[in-house]
Amino acid sequence: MANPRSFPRFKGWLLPGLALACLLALPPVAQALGQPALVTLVTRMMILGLAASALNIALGMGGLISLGHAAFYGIGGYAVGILTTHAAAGAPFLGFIPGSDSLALNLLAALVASGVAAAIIGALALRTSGIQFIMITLAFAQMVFFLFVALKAYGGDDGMSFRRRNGLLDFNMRDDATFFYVSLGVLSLWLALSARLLHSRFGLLLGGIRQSERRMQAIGVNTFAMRWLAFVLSGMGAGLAGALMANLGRFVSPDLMHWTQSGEMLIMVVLGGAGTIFGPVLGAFALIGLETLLASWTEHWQIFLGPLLVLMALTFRGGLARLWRKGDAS
Amino acid sequence: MRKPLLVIDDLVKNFGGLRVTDHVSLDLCAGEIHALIGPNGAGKSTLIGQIMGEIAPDAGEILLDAHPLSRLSQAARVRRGLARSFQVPEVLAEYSARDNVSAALLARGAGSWLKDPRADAGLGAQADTFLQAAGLAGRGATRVSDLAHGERKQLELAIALATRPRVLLLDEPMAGLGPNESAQMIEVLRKLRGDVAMLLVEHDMKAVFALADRISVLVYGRIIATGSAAEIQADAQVREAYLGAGDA
Repeated sequence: MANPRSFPRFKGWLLPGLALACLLALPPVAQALGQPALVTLVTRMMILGLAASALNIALGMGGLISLGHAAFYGIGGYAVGILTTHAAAGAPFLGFIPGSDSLALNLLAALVASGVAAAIIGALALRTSGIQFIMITLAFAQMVFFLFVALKAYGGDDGMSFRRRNGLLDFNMRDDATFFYVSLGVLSLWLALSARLLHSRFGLLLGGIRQSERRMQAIGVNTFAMRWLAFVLSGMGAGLAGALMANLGRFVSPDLMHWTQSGEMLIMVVLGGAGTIFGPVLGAFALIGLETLLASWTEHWQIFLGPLLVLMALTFRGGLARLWRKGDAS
Repeated sequence: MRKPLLVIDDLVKNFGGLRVTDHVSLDLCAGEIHALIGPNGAGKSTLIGQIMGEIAPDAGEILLDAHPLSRLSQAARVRRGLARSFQVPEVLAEYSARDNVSAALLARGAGSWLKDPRADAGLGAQADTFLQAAGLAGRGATRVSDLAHGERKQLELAIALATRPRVLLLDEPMAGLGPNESAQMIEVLRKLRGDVAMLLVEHDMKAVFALADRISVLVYGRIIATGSAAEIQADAQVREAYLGAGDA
């Protein structure tokens, strides 16, 4: 109690703890208020918050401005879509991979598929830096986008839907509130992992590479390998988010991989606070919240959203997360 | 004669039509301080870059303990005992001085794999010993962006020392330092003499004469003379090319 260092630590977790309590209480409150759609909206916010938090590992911790994370997000989504429809049809994918409608298995498949894609794209893209890196990640994501547009077997341009959400234990996954809690659980686990990563040997060295790659090379760090690993972890997180999003709407389409989706993730990270744990999630809540609010007022909501984002970026330098806690990243 | 630890053998490097390293050969014995002096643009920093593996030479070889380095990555060279400091400090500005040194310790595998390195008291204590050796005792918690230029130069040295080098390549450690800071840096380097071999690239002749066992003079990419301080001061070619006729 007398330890002066324990207070900042406690303070740092106070608001996220309160936020968690509010989220836990949301489904029954929304039900009581007669606003069941709020549960789905907040689930979407949490899933996109997970995607933004995943991008943050590459962007905020590693300084890698990727404009291609929608590809990993989409691949995660399609992993669920493809395995679920193959399970329903009873035919194995590619002739030997059995379909699955288990959420745990499909999330794992999404992690693997998006991880492999990120490993390949990262290995090539990380040979460049700066603006070239942005462009090459965008180019790869567009290639993946058009690949899925051309995949007529899985719906092509129209995408594909499936009847039921993937199952988890004996939970009733049809219930939006149940799926809300599952998403909250996955997001919480991911954020705990991110926090651990930021405060690890890997996090310290990765942050060093972001500040001066030359310095880190001079002390013997294999900077390429570390950036690549950060990129792969980041891609896997985006894939996980895509898998949840596919389950939320029981639908996947190439729209998941559209480059504007990558752009939105970037906005969420920057708006919320790059390099912080909770910032990207906050950014996702702010952006989706604003979009929803403005869209309910006018169909020309984007005209208002743009200037608002500019205003927020100018007002909250370093992101929304810095408002309550300075130096969250350190 | 002592066996040389680092040997640079007939190194050549061209940038387009400009030859920046022109058949350079020099060696460095264990524990020795070998100063490399020369006018701006003589190719001193390029030479350090080639030894570290940042720049690939066009011809020639660099040997550490008789093992050729040319095929080794920078990380592998650091593992074998090479370290460098930068003329303009390359330090991690958002981190504390201690974290800068901790990064170097972590890079060579020190510290616990499970603990948060910032909460690892053992690692922090190790980092502090290197900060102390570089004259930065008590500054560990200071954010690097709040350090003065001279302190950043000292931090450069602490980071390099934390990699436990056998050969330290110092790129103008006195550059931008005031007289008191220079004197302090000379004292710090003097204390390290014998423990680690140093290739000292430096313009500050007071520091060079105070520290160097041997001096080589590099002009337009060529070594024009190597010898003791007295020999270099007496060399007519050196006086002409670098020190200036009335300077020595």
